[in-house]
Amino acid sequence: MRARVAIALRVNGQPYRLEVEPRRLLADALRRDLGFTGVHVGCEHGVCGACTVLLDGELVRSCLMFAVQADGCEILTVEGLNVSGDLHPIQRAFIEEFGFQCGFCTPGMILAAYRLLQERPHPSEKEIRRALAGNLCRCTGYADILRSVQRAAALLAEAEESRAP
Amino acid sequence: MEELAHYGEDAKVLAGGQSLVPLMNLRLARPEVVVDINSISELGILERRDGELILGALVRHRQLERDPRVREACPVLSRAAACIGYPAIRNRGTVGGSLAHADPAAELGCVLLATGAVVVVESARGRREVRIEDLFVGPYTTCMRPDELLVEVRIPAWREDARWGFAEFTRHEGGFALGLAACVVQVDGQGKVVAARLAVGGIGPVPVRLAEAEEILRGAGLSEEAIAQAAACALSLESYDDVHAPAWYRRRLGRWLVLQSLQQAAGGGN
Amino acid sequence: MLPSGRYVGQRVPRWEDRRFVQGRGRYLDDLNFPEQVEVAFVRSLHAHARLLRVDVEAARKHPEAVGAYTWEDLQGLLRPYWTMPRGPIRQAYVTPLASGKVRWVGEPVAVVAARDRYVAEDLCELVTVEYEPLPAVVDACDAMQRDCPRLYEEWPDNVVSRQTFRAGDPEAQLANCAVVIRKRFRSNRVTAVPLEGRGILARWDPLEETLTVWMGHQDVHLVRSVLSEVLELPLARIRVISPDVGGAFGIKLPIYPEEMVVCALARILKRPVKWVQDRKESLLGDTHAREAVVDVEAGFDAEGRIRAMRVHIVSDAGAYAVAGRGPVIEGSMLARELPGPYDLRHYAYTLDVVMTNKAPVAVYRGVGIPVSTFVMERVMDLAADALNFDPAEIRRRNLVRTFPYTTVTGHVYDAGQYVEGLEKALELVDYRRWRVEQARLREQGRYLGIGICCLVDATARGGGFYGRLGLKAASQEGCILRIDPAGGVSAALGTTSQGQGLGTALAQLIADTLALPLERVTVVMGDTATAPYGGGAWASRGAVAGGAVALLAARRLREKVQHIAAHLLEAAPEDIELADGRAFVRGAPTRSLSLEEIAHTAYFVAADLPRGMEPGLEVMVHWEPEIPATFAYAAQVMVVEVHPETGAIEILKYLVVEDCGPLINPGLVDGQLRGGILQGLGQALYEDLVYDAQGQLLTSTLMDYVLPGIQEAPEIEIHHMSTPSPRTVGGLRGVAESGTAGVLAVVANAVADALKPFGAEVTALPLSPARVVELIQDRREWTTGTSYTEGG
Repeated sequence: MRARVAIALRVNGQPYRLEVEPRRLLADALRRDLGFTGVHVGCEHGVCGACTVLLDGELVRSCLMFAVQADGCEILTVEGLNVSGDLHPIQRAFIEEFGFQCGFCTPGMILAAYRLLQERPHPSEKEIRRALAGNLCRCTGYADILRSVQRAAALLAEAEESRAP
Repeated sequence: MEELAHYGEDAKVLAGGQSLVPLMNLRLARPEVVVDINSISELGILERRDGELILGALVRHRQLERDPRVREACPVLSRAAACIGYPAIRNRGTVGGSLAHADPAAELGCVLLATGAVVVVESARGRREVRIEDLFVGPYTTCMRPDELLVEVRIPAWREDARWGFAEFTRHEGGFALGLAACVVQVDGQGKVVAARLAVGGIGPVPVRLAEAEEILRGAGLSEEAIAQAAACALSLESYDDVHAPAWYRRRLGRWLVLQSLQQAAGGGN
Repeated sequence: MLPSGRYVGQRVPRWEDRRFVQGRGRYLDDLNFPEQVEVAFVRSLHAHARLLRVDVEAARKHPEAVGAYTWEDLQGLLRPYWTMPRGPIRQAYVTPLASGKVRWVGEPVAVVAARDRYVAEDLCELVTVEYEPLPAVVDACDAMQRDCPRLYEEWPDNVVSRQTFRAGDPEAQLANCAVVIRKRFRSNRVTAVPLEGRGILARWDPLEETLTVWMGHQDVHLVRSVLSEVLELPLARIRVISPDVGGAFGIKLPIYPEEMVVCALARILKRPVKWVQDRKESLLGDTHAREAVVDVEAGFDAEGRIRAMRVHIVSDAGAYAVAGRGPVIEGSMLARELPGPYDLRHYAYTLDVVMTNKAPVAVYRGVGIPVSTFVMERVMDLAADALNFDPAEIRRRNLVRTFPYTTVTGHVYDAGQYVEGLEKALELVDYRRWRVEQARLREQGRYLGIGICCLVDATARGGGFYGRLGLKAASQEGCILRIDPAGGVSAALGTTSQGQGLGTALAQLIADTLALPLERVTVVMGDTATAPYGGGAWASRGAVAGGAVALLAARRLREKVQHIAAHLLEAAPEDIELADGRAFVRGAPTRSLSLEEIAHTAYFVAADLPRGMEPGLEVMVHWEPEIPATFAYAAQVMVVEVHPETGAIEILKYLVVEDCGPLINPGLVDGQLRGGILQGLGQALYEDLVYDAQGQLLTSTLMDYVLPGIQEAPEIEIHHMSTPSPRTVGGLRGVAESGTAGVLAVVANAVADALKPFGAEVTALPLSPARVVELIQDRREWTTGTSYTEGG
């Protein structure tokens, strides 16, 4: 009944085609139309960060973008971190360090950590806090999340070392 | 331009979306039409021209924070941009969007008042320039007409003898500021203030310059007394009550913030 | 005693919950049926008004509408409701969609169904509602007055419950006290804001005439009971399933009007009906909590011992009594737990629970105790000031030392080391050094403050706590434990988890009791079809009640396994040991059987079992805590620096000594403590639900209702003591709420201590920057142009 727009985007390395109303939020398109329920909606006003995804390599709030704006873009959701089946080191770190309780903020936290560690493989505590400042959690009190990111950095560094000749 | 001319009040421009989309999600903003300008590449320019820093409307806050050209051309802007929201907000939010949204507590409005700036606005009827002092007319209200688009911001060349300061105070990191202050002060070889621009945001309905304070500083040095006196001018600012703070607190906070920013400028190292 | 083995007492990570780090959790909004409809609600714009007309015709006729309904359309399918028919609470009835009157902004007035939420919201705009506004009552103290507008016009006033209590002779005692503290304290209104909002998906099967409901909820059996009542459907025809829940903290314990409406629509439409709230609806209408005014009169003798206390509590109830919990519990608990960990024999209270034209109030983590602790701990510090005692000393003189101790309000502190806990906290935080530091900084014009708090937290309610009030929330708990033919163990319980990791903790208990690897244990909760009748998650009962039945069931099964093994191996049961999923004869390890083999016999070759033994390897255990509550204890110390220019509060140190008995999993326990503390900090410093005089909620988005983020999270040092309870299975005590319980107190005390040079009165929350400056400003002169040399 309303005009739809055709878009093509890639999510977690796979191409998708969708027809969406212009006002459909990216978060809803990812969740409902493409089944990426790892993208969570906690507020719809850009404050809580649960909807965070990587768009063309940068962190964005998928609740503050329209799906049509993602036409031609490359999106990474938390589901894309372990497409192969094995847990990504960041995911492993969050389990080992009790970095989640209810799990609702977790995908956003993990992606924020992922992006941080790409840029700063050995972040200070201050840098971790700054990078995750836009992701709210109501369960953990954050200390375990901080430790999880630190552990993730260590695990990634280990993996790097074992890769080096 | 045509879309904006055609739809007028019923259209809203979509740049970063970090201010518009929350309002739409809450159904507080209900435009018939949203005009997405993100693909207009000319609006993304970031360059120096004769010392001036030219920012296209689509320059993202993230670029202001990180691009070395901005840090060089206008260090106070770079510093302030780093305080805007969170990384995800800075990745999308734009210069044009922030200025057009005219949140009284936004970093950009306040800082550009301190640096001075000219905003270029365009419509189907043509281009015009607006001084930053004239841009904000009320909370969330600019002097722009519904069919106009903010396309560019021009910031005057940074002077060798310029010192700067920036301070803000938030309830929580990355949230909306209860107050902000920015200053750009030119100091001569003898330590005398040749020119000063002092701006506060978040205290009143629009960001304002503290003309009286600037007057106090001119001719004086950046001494403790002069700074304190200048800062005290904030106590007579127009302010308002809301759920976060009453007016009297905002004014007091304004004084403290101006003090901080002037102390930074006096301290020299930034 | 807790079993000893590989797991209990260890920081066992939640590997079985790995789906959460993969983004594969299944929360309510992740569930979708192809033919489902989604609904949106039209909500009252007025806090108090007569509802003259609700016209949904335009919406209903719209081609994209599936349906549009008012109370008139639903009254054949839904009964009005109230809560706690046998409780000390005035009764009334409310309808899930407003009728006759609206009593709070956000109250559901009409509902629209469409293929998706976007369209449903569009259609809501076509609904017209005519109101006749009435004056709103927003302040509970005002609302108590007889001449005030009444929410429920059949009542003489707005007091929904008045409770009084008296023990000893407080007046006589007060007359003889060296110091009497008279103060009014105010606690602000907050709400839990779990990151996942509320939602429901209901599906009616017209052939079977059964209703299946998916809802992120803490007590699925309670949901079923309430739905059965309001829908007039037999219990057996309703199944309630809670998928993964993104946090709850008490606000997912009630059953809200929207949920009742959705179930009714499912019957009408014969299609799955789904509703998921948005954040604005959450702030507007999730149950609120903690708003109270407490007038205290507390008398101390010259030695610093508290002799008597009289309080009047006005607890703000909001506009109606939610099903499943109601507005009275918070005030009651505040009143009854106020004496805290102190020896007090003369105590009297009057509690007025008052309806106001604001969102309904129910239960939020701590339920009354965060506020009672705030009041009592401020009183202790004020008395210390008045008598010139160190705040730590006055507590030493008043803490309960002999156990068991029965409080004036009838609670039993079965065992504890309250003084030792305080001493430990003071020592670990290096209290004396901080006092020295405080003095030093004061000379520099800097304001350091130390706040202390001692608290007890009532957990794992027993004795039919809600049942007596006519509320179908169980204090007892049940577990069905089964070893299946493959030797795997599955446990079904009536408890639930919304992130606490309870499943892991229970699995640890079971795995160690049966001596097998953790991966072989599966814990299933949250589905009324498979969960034994239990109470879900409330009052930090998961480990205590759930742990009790899991342990009791596991022990029983262990015994059975030993007997079968003994019989098959021709040994005595006492000589059978279990290890690594096998049963073997002590001293002769080759004489052994795997659990699988034992199970095979039990299920398929029952003739080989000991004579008279029931076949199978499945037990069911139900258990009720025999005491009204099991008390955890904590001593918390916080050091802050207050910046007088901005009112900013910087937390320099936060240390907690916590006694919740033995720990099943320190990782889970510390997580609960830290999370609870952050929520408490939220109320103390950041969060505040503010209504204007017309009853409009001014803080209806997360921009205005400020939640603490990672930058606001202090380092919290946690130390554990363990004083097992002699009255629970395994000696366990609950822990999830005791972090929260102390925060308001410790922050308030630290700030008051910091601002002592100004004589600042800290009696209200939150301690926002403006309020802090106001506290100082009252007492200090400043003039324009003065030079300030303080840092900050």
